[in-house]
Amino acid sequence: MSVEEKESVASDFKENGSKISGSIKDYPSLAALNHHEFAELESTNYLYKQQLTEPVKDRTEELVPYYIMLETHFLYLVLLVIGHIRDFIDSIFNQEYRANLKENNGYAPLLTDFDSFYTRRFKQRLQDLFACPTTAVPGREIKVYRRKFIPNSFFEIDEDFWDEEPVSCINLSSYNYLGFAQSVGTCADNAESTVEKYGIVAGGSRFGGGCLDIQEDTENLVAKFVGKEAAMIFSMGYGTNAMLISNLVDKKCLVLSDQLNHASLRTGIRLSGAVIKVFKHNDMDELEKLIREQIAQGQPRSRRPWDKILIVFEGLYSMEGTMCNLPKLVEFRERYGVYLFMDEAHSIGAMGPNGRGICDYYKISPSKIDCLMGTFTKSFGSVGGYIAGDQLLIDHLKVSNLCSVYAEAPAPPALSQIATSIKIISGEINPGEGEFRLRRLAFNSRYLRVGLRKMGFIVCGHIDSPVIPVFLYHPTKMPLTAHKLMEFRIAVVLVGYPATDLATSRIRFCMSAALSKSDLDYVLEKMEEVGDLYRLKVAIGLDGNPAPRARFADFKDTLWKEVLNPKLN
Amino acid sequence: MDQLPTKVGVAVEQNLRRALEIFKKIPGSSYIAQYIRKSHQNDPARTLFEFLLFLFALRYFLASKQSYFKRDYLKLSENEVEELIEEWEPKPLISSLSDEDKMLLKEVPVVESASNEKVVIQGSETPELLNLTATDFFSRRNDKEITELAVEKIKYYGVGSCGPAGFYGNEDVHIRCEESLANFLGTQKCILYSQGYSTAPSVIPCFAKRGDVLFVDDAVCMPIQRGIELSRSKVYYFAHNDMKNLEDNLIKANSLYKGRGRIPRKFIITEGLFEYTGNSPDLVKIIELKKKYKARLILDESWSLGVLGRTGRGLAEECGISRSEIDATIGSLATGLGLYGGFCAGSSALVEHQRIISLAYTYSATEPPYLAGCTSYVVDRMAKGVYSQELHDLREKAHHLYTELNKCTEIDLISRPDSPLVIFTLRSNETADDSSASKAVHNVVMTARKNGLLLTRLGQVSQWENFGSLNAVQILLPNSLSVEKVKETAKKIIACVQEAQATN
Repeated sequence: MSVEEKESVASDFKENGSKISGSIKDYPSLAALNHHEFAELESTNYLYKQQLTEPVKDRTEELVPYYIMLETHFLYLVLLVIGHIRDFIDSIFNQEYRANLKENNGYAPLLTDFDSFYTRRFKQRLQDLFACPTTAVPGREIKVYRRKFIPNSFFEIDEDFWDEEPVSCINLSSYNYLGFAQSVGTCADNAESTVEKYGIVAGGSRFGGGCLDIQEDTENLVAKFVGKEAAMIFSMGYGTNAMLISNLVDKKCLVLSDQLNHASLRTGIRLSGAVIKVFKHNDMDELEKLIREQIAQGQPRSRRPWDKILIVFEGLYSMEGTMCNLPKLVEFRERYGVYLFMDEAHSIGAMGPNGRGICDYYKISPSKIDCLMGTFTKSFGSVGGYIAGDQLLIDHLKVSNLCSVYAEAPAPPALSQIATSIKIISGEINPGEGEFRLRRLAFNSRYLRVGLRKMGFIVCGHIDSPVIPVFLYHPTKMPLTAHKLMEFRIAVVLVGYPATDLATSRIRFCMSAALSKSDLDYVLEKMEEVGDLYRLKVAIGLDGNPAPRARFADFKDTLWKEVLNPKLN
Repeated sequence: MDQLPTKVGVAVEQNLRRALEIFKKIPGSSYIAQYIRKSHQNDPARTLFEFLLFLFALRYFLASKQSYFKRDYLKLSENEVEELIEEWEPKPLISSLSDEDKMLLKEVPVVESASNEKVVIQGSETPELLNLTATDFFSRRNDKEITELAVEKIKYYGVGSCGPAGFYGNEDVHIRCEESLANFLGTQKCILYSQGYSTAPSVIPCFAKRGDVLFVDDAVCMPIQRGIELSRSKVYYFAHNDMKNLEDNLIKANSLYKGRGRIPRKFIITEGLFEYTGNSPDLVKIIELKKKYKARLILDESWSLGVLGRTGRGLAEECGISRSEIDATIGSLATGLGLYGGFCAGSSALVEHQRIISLAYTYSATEPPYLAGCTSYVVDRMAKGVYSQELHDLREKAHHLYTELNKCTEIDLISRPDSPLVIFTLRSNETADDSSASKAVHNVVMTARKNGLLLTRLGQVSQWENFGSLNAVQILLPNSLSVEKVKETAKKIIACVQEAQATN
């Protein structure tokens, strides 16, 4: 960094830091928190306001050496062969194991060998790592019960984990981006008073008597927050997507879907009956080619033009941390007349200088996207999903969306949590606090990502994304890394098939505003150790040579300054 | 120039030689060479054939997948494409609302405040209405003990769980709640979903796949219909609660699959208390048929759990059938129990398989911990029989309501006599077309609201219903009403129906 740049960063930062106070003691809903839920800020230097940088190309493929991919495939081959050998042996000697896999008294097996093979022979080896029960607030720390591994079992998991005390870990696993998961403070107080006023649930579907006035109020608040005319809240994020697409398109329409779209979107598209074409993740050139080709070709067989073409994509991809190329997509919308559906499950609240999602980040008017969807499980510490769009769309959904007519309406305390957290983010209540949380999250995300990258880990995604995946590839590294990190009291999410490709297993850090810089220093330090131990630092640079592997001790003191540079990419 | 053929010949010769030398260096190449030589010696035609086969394989692997799909694409020049793009007029994403939609939109009540039985709704002339729409029959959502518990849990866990079950979102309360439910129902295991509606569409495709066979009652509710669609299985619909028809279907299907290798999985899917009709199937007979024809049973106990049976264990308890006879019990906890979320209970393998395969479980955040806590509290008490008297009273009151309503000649009561979920259609609608039938129901609902009763139509979206919508009125009877009040309400409902028909 040149001297000039340093100065400009410093002045930027002064301007940033002037408005908000550094101590959480100055914010009523944070002051009451203990350090298990939200850590005190160590210095006002550790805040960053998100700024638009050029969308980075997803470079994972370029970062991985070929031999790693070869080894990974070989290891899966070994696992596959061993699995089949064990299946063969069990089919002779272990009838108990086969009970659910073979025909029994004229009944077809409940599970087929093939369908359950992955679960039985691969995932079962990791059973003690997935689904660890937790307790208390998933804030800065999370209390995790450890399960024991049961060898040679058929879907058996350890049930006696209660005996041992849960261990307290640094929480990089929950979607608690802005740190709103808290048991005290404004959010919790409001939720409690809502329980007293409305009860614990709404008592019906939105269509049939379950729509409380607090729901309509919150819906208006959400609409205003995301910048749309109207919005609607559902009780489950997955269900929102799974049942929504049918309302937008039918079998005479075409849906262009990103390759890495979430399972809920894929289910929704399938239920809609529309024709589906998948384009390579974030590949705008391929998408444009596809749009042009499809408009020209029209519907297959009947050769009529498509009724509508809908592009379905996510704002921030939860497993990759990559961001969509919204400016390009909006350009396509204007040029070709396609419709845009953006799933902002992970980006709403976490992205943009004001936390209003990808549109806010790119400074694009939300009116340019036809339908915005998001969830409240992540940044808002609540539950449910929303759809925001024109009044006409929302009115249509009120009477003909399956979730709105058949499913239970969102619970009032969840609505209150949503309303309160949105008000805090937009500064309506506790002014300054929302901004404080946003800037802290932005800093933390960049800090950990850049730190890991410098050490030579294969880190994927956008620089400002709070989702930070570190690729492991080898199936053997999954249990090793997860166990080691748990030993170091760091809770991270281990992601493998079916949430990602089989070969690209990874650990995922979900950043939170509740963490302090020293927490992240600790994580980086321990990651360096784990990386050395299990050969995780294998990234290659864009020139094909191994990327520089810096030691954490060498850049520990300067890293914070470096990440404040908005030009860093 | 005349030396060219020689030069080319030499070049070919040299290159071939070099290629052969390289080929010889590959380990094992001598065996391949030997094989080719020998087979050529024995059968020269075979060499040609194998060479062609090799070329075909090469072409097959190199051909892109795209070109296969693009085979019947029109070949268009760039100008033509440009012209077509210019011409293309997409339809609006949502066309304007239909009259039917506008009518329904007016019907959606927005509740301002709700107590045990009285509600205030926005835009209503009547200040307070009697609430006949709460799925929570026993007003548990406002029960003091339960709300206190909820507050206590929020103070410990916060509101959301901030993660899917596989990613540290499964808190101890969720696991306790699953245990409570399994214990209450008497199954090995139970799995908790975060929305009642999403349970069936996610559970059914986990077990029923392409090639499997489903026997489904034709009045099953929307989530099951969507689940069936996602499963891609072969479906046999049998007439509502018609056991004879079910048996015929089972016989037909069994004869089709007899002696054809792998037997398909067969599932009978029905509901404990039908959302659309308020009726129950003859479970004893179904169990008998399922055993006879080797099918499994998926029973949706959404409305029957916490309503039917002495202690509220659902239709199985009422019919005196052990839960182990039912392979999978699925359902929503938001309906009959008046809580939140959904569940699937059954054997250990059945439940654990869902933890990674079931989409709504794997890809969705878990339900708020405070709700899981309240659910296990209610379920544990129910298991102890604390609510038995309440349940008995409710069914009795429902019976009174049924008897009174049955006196009315303008309506057809289709729900069972002791069901607190009361469904009736209008006699005048029997011959009417869909839109005028819907209008008639609308009139009844709006007249009732004017007269101080908040009831709704049976919530259905006709375009998604497999067998069209029913156009019925739905009444959910709260337990807080006294017997006299129930009778009075029934009379009021009849008066409303008559008034609505008179003005029509």
